[in-house]
Amino acid sequence: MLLYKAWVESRWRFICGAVAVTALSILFVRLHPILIPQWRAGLALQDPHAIKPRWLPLGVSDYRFYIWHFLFDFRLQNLWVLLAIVLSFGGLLREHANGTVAFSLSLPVTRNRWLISRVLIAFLETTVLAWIPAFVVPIASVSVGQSYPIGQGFAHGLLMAVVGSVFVGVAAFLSLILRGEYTPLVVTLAMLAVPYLVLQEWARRVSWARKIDIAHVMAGAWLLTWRDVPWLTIVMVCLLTVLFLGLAARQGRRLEF
Amino acid sequence: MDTVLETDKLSKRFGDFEAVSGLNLRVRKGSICAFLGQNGAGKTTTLRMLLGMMRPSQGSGHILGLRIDDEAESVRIRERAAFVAEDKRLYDYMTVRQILRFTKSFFPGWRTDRESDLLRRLDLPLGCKIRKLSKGMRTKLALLLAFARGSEFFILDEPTEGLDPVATEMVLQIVVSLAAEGATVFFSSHQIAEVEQIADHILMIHKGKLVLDSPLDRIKDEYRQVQAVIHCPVQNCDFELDGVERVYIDGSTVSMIVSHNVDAVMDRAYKMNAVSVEVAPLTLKEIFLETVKASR
Amino acid sequence: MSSYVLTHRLAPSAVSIANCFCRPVRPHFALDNAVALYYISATVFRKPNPASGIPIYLQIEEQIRHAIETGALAAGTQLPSIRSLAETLVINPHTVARVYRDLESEGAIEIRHGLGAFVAEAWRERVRTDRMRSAQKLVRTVVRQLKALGLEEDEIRRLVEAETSEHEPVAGRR
Repeated sequence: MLLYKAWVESRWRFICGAVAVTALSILFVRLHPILIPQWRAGLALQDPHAIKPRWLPLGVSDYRFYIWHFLFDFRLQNLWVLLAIVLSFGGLLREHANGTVAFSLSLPVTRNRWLISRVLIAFLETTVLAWIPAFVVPIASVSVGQSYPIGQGFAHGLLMAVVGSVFVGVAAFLSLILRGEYTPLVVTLAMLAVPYLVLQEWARRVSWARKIDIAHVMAGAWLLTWRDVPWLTIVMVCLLTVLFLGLAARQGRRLEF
Repeated sequence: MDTVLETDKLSKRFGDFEAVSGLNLRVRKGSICAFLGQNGAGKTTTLRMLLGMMRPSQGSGHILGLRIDDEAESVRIRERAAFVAEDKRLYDYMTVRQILRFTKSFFPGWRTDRESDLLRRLDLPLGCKIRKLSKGMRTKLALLLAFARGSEFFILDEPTEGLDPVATEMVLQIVVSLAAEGATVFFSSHQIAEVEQIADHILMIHKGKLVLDSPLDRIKDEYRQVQAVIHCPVQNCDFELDGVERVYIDGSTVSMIVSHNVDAVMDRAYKMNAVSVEVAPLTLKEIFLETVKASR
Repeated sequence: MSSYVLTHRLAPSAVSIANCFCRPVRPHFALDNAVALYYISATVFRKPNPASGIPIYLQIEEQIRHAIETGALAAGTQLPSIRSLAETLVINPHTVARVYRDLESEGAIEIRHGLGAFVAEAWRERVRTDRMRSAQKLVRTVVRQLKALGLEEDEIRRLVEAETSEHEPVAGRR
């Protein structure tokens, strides 16, 4: 029943997130036939002052690169991180702010169990959100005369969800540090989303920044194969997630209401 | 086990402020024990420590033999003891039916007979979302969710707060029937009349300390107001006897609040040539007000 | 509480309590018994006043004694269970237990193990004897005081007759 409660509490956020992810995926698929002619024209122009991103030729020629670049490397990933943070906030401190913590704590449930049930639902929801494009993109691509392999969609979704789990961990931890009903959300967004976006922009320009750029890791190679998977990095990020969850658990046990 | 709740020098300090200090409580099985105190006297802090919401700064407490400051044992306490805090808010996105199902899942000893009986008597609409319920109905629902757990010990913080007289009487009746079945009830209340009606033991806290710990019968039997008319000049110190809590002198009338030893006090009054000595009983409200004043 | 009673058809033995306090209750069926006991709880016992100077247990004891004396609770009537009376009057069960214990030691009621509390058979008579004895003592004291004031026995007798014939004689009980 704890899982049920965690689900009901995050249900609308999840549904809105699913709608947003679906809309975003369809949007970029539909943009493809509009953007490609523009880019081709741009490439054809031999203007030395025109900005030509290095990926542009590949983007023009390969639909799969285009999808990867705009979704898994860029906008969808940003949206997903935002949603992951939004879905992970909550917990006993928030219940304290809206007055139900006395009832929750009257139940024979340890603080760890409260945290685990909430985090578990958050992981499930974020994974489902990460996999929505795997369905939506191939289906929508048919309407623009393209095809996108479902396997790639799932692989990228899984990578994003697994590496992005660190955002769930940090958000869960901050939810138990900051008091208030919505304050933790706002602060977490400011603390995580903003630097994340800044880091991502910076990594585009500076090559060594990519090594610490989690966004880069989440995106992976544009065509994922078993060989390409950065296993070591994934393990390290997961350990980081576990660390934050451990800190959250410890903080949860120490809280006084 | 005879004692369901006992604390040993239980204390809580917030920085410099000592909210609760050296509290030694004992509640016996089968008792309906009232916990009285002014707002800010330390009642809520004490209850929060018992519930495991706060950790004591010093001292210890046991409920049903289990420690209140150890999380694993505290969870086991909550399996057998039901708490209703002062804030009776519930998950307002759930309906009455949903929260019943939710709560029931944690208590294998849930009393479905009591649940349906109380739903009917308290007139709670099953399909209604909790956010749409009035404050009184929310209180009744919170109490129902505790009463139906099949617990052997109930800790209630202001159970009848905000309830109309009919609902209040119903809640008191339910408390009485729980006690008649062998459960123990520990409740805090500002409604002294209710306390007098159903409690058999009184614990009074003032400024974080226990100032009264006695069966209600003994209080009613022993506390007296002694009024003497003495025509010679008298002073407060003339009546500094064991048992005299307060002395008021107005002209020839000496009025005393006496907690025990009434005979000795009457003797003293007669020795001071009192023309008349009258002894009258005190209501619990008067005793409460005087005890709080005397402990300053 | 009364609505519960009114919505159930009162069996003849229960009705007899309502109509006439003289006939003893002889419940025949389980429901009959429950209704009768419930009715007794609701009508014979008044809710005590916790704020009066008199302790609750004394108030209830006095109510029961009075009910037995007036015949509202006839000899052999079953009293409500401790739990039932506590719930009806909304008072602590320990208080009810104490009341029943005190009355049992007085001889006013009998507690039959496993069955419940019943009004004792011969208590009314004993109470009357006790009361006559205390009345006799009172009269003796008053007469002595009046004689000390200087009155003759004739004058005292005339005073007593005037006093007792002034009011309608209270309906005597055999």
